[in-house]
Amino acid sequence: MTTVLTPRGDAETASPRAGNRPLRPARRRRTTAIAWGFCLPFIILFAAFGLGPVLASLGMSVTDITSRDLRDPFNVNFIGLGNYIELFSDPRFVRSALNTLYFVAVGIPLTMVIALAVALALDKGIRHLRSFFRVGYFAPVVTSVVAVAVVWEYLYREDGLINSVLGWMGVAGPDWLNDEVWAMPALIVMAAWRNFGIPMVIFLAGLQGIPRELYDAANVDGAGAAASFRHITLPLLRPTTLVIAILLSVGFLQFFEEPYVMTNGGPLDSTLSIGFYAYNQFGFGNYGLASAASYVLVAAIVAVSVLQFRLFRRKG
Amino acid sequence: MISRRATWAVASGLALSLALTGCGRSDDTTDAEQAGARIDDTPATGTIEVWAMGTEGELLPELAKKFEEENPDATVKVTAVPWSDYAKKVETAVAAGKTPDMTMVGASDLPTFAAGGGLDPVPDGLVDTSRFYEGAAASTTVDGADYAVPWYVETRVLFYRSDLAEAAGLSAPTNWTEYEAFLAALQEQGADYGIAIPTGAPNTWQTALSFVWQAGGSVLNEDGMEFTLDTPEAAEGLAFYQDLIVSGIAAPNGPDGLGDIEPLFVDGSLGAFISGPWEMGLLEQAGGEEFLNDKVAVVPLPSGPSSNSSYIGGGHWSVFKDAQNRDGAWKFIRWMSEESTQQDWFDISGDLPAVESAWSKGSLATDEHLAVFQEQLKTAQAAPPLTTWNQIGAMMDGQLERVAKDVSTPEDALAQMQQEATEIGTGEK
Repeated sequence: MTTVLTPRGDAETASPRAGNRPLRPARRRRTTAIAWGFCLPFIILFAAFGLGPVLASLGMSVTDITSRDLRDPFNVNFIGLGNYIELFSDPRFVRSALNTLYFVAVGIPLTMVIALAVALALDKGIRHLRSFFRVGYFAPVVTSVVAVAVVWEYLYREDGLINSVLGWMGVAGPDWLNDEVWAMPALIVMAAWRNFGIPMVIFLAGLQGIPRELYDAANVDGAGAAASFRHITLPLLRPTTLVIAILLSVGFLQFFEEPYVMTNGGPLDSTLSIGFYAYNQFGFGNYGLASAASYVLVAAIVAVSVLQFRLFRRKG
Repeated sequence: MISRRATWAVASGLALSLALTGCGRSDDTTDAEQAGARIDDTPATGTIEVWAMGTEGELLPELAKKFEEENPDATVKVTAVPWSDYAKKVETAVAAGKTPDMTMVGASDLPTFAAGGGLDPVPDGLVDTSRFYEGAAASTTVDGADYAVPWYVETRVLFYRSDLAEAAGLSAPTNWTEYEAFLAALQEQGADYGIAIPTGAPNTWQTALSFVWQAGGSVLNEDGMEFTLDTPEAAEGLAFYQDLIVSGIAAPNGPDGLGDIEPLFVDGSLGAFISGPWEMGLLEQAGGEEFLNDKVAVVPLPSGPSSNSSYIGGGHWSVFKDAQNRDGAWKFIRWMSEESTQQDWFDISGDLPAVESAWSKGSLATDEHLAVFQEQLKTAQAAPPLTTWNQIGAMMDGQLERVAKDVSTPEDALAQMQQEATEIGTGEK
């Protein structure tokens, strides 16, 4: 990158320092130009469809743009952080932020525990029909959320399958999706079921990367299954866990599809998420406010990812 | 490296927004927009590009054929657009300046589209608005100018199981006092619930507002500038709505989508519900023709202290400012609002004519179910023509859910609605 910009003299004095046999500057420039040429299609596409909208929405989030300005998008006023202040003084937005936090804080650990348990079972426990189970556990990931929602809505009905099973055990189940307290847990369980497939595959790869000799050695030293799991499996899965935690938190923070198809944010806003709030505001034509809400979400995703990098960073 | 890149992104974002400040909002005038040139009486020419939604989009080509016969130099090209994402499609088209010539618009969405500045005001003298139902004509006026011509209308009436009512020895209720007793009687005849009304699902306001109107309340004052939601009349209306649910006559979690209630109504677990003309077809599908003829009764909504107002919705036609064939589009619209065309369209689609005089012929004049809708249309009211109505309606749905779940009293919910609606504003600048 710097080579393109540095004057000829600098490049010549800099190259001998590289130790290897230096390329002649002209040739080096040509190589760089060709390299940029190969990257160009991606850069153009990324700038037009990736970076452009991102910057445009950042710009929109500090203006009072609404659907009234459709034909004249530059005819708007700069209002600084006004949208952000409005967001945090709206109790519904605060509620949606807390709901999202609830979903993330419970949903991610739950999904990871299920994924790890299933991965362990597939790695060690299940001897027969292994690929059948792998496909079975991965299937929810590739199923359309709309189709899944229809089935789960039946399961969660007041007279649905889940409550029938609970009834056999003498428990009277709630009307899950219409209950202010139970709607969110119901969505979390469904999200965990729908999302554990990919972490499971990554965990499985991580597990198969752990050398068997370590377990043999531990076995010789008299360690039981629980001790080997705690002192060998878990520490060696640390990098895998980091990847999964970040992938899941990016996905879970954008919590939208489940309430959109199952509860519409209700009952009484108990499943309204930040993503859903932003979607609604776009629908009302409040583009500035909606963009600001989306950026709050982006900030949250960045913050959570940084936090996880800190937490899971390899010690030593 | 990451942080440097992030800084760079934020910096250029801010630079962009600073650039935007250079071009502030110009003074918005509150005067009504002036309509464009008048439309002459010569036959239409050229291609007319039309967007139409749902069933209307599928059936419109049949009607358009007749227009093409009368205007041999004109071609109508219909694109069917699903209702679910048409609003975004229209807004995107307006923003990009690449619109068709005309589009169908849902009555309550019109103000938002008009405010976007993409619609051509109806030319002077195109149609005589007094020929339409008052509620339909009222919903085409935004900020003092007309932006659409009504095409078809729909309104909500009471459907009930006539066999259950007969068994209880009751005839249709005509006022609120009879209403509750009637519904409770249907319940005694074996229905789980007397009636199903929405309890917070999107567009709950359509049903809840009719109770407010029936009690004499209104959303806006006379000149349409101020909200009047926190009145004793409105509270009386919502109290009746809440009482139906709290007393167990109405289901605590009402229907939230098309197709939810018909099976319950057919199997007898639901005694009555409030819905529109499309329900005839759905009930026939769910229960068969015999069921529809023998066990379903349709009557106007029972009157409250003030009236028996219901909600009026429907489809309008609008022309885009960026239309290539503005004259052709307006001529097509004028033709569609003619009495005979409205009757033809009813024969094709079953949509109820927005032109009052079109009801004088054929099954429109003789069908007893249709007569009920005709009766109801006379007093039906439309959503207030506010550019912010989508947002206010959604806000009201949230508050109504609190009323339905007995978390809020009608008075508290109305005070909250009044405050939030005032904050959102009427869209006037």
